[in-house]
Amino acid sequence: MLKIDQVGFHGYGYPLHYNFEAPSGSLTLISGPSGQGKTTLLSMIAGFINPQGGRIIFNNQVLNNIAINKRPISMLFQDHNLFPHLSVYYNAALGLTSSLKLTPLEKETLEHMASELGILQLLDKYPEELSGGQRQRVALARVLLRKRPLLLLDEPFVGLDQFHIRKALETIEKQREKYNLTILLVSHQYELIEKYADQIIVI
Amino acid sequence: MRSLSYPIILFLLILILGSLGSLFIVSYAKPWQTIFDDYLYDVLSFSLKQAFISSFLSLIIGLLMTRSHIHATNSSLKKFVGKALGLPFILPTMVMIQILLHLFGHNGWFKLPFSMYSESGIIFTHIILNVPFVVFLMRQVWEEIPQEHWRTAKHLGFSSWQFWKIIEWPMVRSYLLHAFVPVFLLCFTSFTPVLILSPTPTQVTLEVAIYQSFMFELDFGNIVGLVLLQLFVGLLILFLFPNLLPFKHEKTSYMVKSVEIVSRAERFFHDSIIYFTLFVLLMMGLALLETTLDANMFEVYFSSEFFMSLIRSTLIACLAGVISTVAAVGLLKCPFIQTMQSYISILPVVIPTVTLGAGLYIFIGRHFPDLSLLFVILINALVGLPFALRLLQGRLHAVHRKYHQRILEIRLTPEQQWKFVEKPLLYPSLKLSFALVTAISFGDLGAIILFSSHENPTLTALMYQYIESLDMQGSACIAFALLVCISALFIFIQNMGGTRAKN
Repeated sequence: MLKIDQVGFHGYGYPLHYNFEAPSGSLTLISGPSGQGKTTLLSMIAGFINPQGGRIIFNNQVLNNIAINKRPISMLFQDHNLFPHLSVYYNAALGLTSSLKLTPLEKETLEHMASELGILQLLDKYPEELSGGQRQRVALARVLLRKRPLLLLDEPFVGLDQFHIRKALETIEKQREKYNLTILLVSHQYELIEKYADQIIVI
Repeated sequence: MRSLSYPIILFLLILILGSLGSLFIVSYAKPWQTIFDDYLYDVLSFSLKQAFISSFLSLIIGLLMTRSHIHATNSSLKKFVGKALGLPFILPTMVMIQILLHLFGHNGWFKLPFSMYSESGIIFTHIILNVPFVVFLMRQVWEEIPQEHWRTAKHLGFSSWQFWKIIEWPMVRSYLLHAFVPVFLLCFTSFTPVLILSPTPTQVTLEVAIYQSFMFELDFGNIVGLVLLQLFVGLLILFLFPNLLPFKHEKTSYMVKSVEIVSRAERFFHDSIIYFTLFVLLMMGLALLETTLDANMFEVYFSSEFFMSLIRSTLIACLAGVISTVAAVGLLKCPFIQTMQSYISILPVVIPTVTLGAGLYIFIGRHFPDLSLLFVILINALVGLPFALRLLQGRLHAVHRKYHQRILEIRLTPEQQWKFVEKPLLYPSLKLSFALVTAISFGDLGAIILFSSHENPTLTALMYQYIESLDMQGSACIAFALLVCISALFIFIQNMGGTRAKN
């Protein structure tokens, strides 16, 4: 279970306070107007911003003082998720190993994920050759390939049409069930995601 | 100001085309084979060779320093060193050379494996002068790395090597030529370091060769050959790399502090580089202070020669600053010039001071020998013009973007637009432009030495006279005075009319 226990942040000149719980294997949709600290909350959980007070607990482990890359978290950003000089294949492969040398089994896993997200035919392309939606799907593939128990998705469906949003959500759902992933999803596409969410938090 | 655009463009065109035309007319009267002789070949090969080695090494060292600057941990120290590295942009080259000679010369504090008065000494000086420029350019590259890439790297647990290989190197690689070309051109057209440190008459750049021909032979044919060659190489590089010269600096989004990527050992290395840079900068400051204090300051500072040079320098620099700033505003009103901005910004290195001076002298200067100081002012203003244009362009665009609609709505005339909108909003940038061109002109040696060094010296020309007569303490006094004057001018100009600038 993820527990956000009285977490606060004052870095923007006004106080932000968060206090909620997300059960293991649940999908929590975080919604609300822009500038209310949704991305800040994810950044604090991921470790990019230090909270000024409170505790972030996941599966009984306090995350506050754990190094960013050691946290059981995989995060998707709003933008610039992909490295422009790496092909789709290598961008996705970073989710498996940062050395970019994949074993045959890892290659198979990558191709399977690419197929599920509809990007198999794009593996040799570069990010600049993709549409916004295709780029987000590649980034999503990388995030899912990391197989961390806590997924933080910050506006993962920006630029995707309804068909691909549903497809991506189905893939996320499948992965969630398969690996019992706990997911925090920040999105403005409330109506489409609502039915997949176990709880909705409006900030 | 819009009405000024076309007279300014016309004036500049007459000057540039007239100078080039005169050169061609003079060269036409001289057989080409006598212009391109062995001496010219030696000068050209030396210019290219030293420029290549200097710029290559400057780039390597500059890259290393930039990376250290990005990854070092002490942020206040980084900030201080970053600002101190900006000094070579406004400090006269003469002052920097004076300091280097005191540190590494024959009786210097540190011994180098080579003499400062040699080809290696020239390359070493070029490296010291250009590394800050490389750091300035390459820092922009790092600043263009999106914050998300830094975060992704930390998130995925990249090692230092992976971070360099996957994120930094691809960005750096795509900008290497952008940094190399301007540094190469700066070293290729170098004047003051080569003039002072060159060991033999053939180990000089084209700029110095032009000056030597001008001063000792006054052989127009020879001068024309050298000037044309200088222009040819500069324009060839501009033609070969038209898109390389200006940097497209748009964002500053890196968050190095919050997501340190590199290992502790590497961080220690980067910190050491920053401390070493600080040490070198401190040594440079102390070296200048020591020679100045050792010298008979009163004798130098209370001489009428010094006093007159100071007045001349101030007058030339301030007038050049005014002309350059006014011309820049006028030119920016012309849409054609705005599209040519990237080419104009590189002109000072393609057509350097001595080349420009020689062209102007052949065109009109020789017919009006009494107006030599006016030509010095004009050349300094022309050299400073691209800097003024660059400084003012961004601000003027921002003002237009913000107020264009409103100006149209209330139907302001161009004069009213300048008086009520642009002038008040541009005031801080106008001051900065004036301060920068004034500082650059204050440190100029090329134009003054070409036109009027002995009878009417400026401070830099006087300093050169001291160095020529091997009076290093006298030259240190002038170097110190130059440093104080430029700093004072900069502070004074920046604080001039502060309230109005805020409004």
